Amino acid sequence: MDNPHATTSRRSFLAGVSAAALIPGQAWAQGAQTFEDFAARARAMSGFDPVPRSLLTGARRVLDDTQATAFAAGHSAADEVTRTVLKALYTGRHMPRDGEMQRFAYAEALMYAAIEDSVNVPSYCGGLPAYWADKPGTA
Amino acid sequence: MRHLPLIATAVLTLAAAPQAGGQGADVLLNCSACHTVGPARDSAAPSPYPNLNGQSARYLERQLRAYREGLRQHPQMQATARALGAGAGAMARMYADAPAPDLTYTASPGALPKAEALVTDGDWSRGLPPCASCHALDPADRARLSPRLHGHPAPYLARQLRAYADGSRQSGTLGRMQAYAAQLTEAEITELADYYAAWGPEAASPQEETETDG
Repeated sequence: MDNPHATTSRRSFLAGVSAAALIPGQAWAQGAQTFEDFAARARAMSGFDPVPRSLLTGARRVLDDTQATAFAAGHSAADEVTRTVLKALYTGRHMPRDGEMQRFAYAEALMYAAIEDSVNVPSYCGGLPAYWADKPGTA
Repeated sequence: MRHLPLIATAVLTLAAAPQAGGQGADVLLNCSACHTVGPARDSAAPSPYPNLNGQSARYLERQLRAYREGLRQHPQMQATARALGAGAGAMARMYADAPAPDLTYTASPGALPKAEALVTDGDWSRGLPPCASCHALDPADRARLSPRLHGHPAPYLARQLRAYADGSRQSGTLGRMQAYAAQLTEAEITELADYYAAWGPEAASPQEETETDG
């Protein structure tokens, strides 16, 4: 307490923390978001409950911790991250502009879940073996 | 005062009524009473109910919805699905995230020839693709969307095939299973049920015939 620099330092620290708490957008960065928070947000945004775990873990893996926290908290600054997550959930892959494509699910991708009542998942056999080699009946 | 016991009984009955209702809901929502979560408690006594551990999450949720909407028939499961309501997703996630059972084929190869042919080759003369093309040959293969059939009780499996065939179960995507089951003979249904029930823990005895469902 005799050291004026130490007092100033503590005061500065407290002032800094107080100021940081007032900055919009910092609250979500400080919140301890878990994988379950991320998964809950992913379910809410995708409109599917449940979402297969392979999709959730894959989508989480392509984000860093700050992005995942922002997404889980639903912060508006995370719009781009939200688009990345939804693309990953619906396609089962992550395809960055400047990196290699990562695939973490195929048949479980939500794009197939959205149309499963009317379209077969590709690669599932839709008829006799080699049925695709014949001309369509109307050709 | 002579009416006191009568009044007391009436009061106790009225007071207990809400508790009885609550208990009913608890029983309905106690899924693990029939469908054990995680490894079976006693592998020497196989469960008569289907094992939901490690099953596809979306399949489980769709089945609960089908029970709710009457596309699958089973009094207990329909009541449970209705009681679960919006909690169906969470219940499906819980079972899907539980470790799938470790299963091996316990019957002798060739013991169920009709079923083995349908599982691996299908019968294209009747438009029947191999069961394995959707349900996988090996229960550890999780690349497909269709549910794992391996290790379920034979009576349950046979009942589901008959229900698909007679139209009382309509939860199959694109009507595939309804069309498939309608082509099967009763002997084929029995053998297919025995084939998938023969997948169990190593050296397990065959599933006993029971009249339960799930």
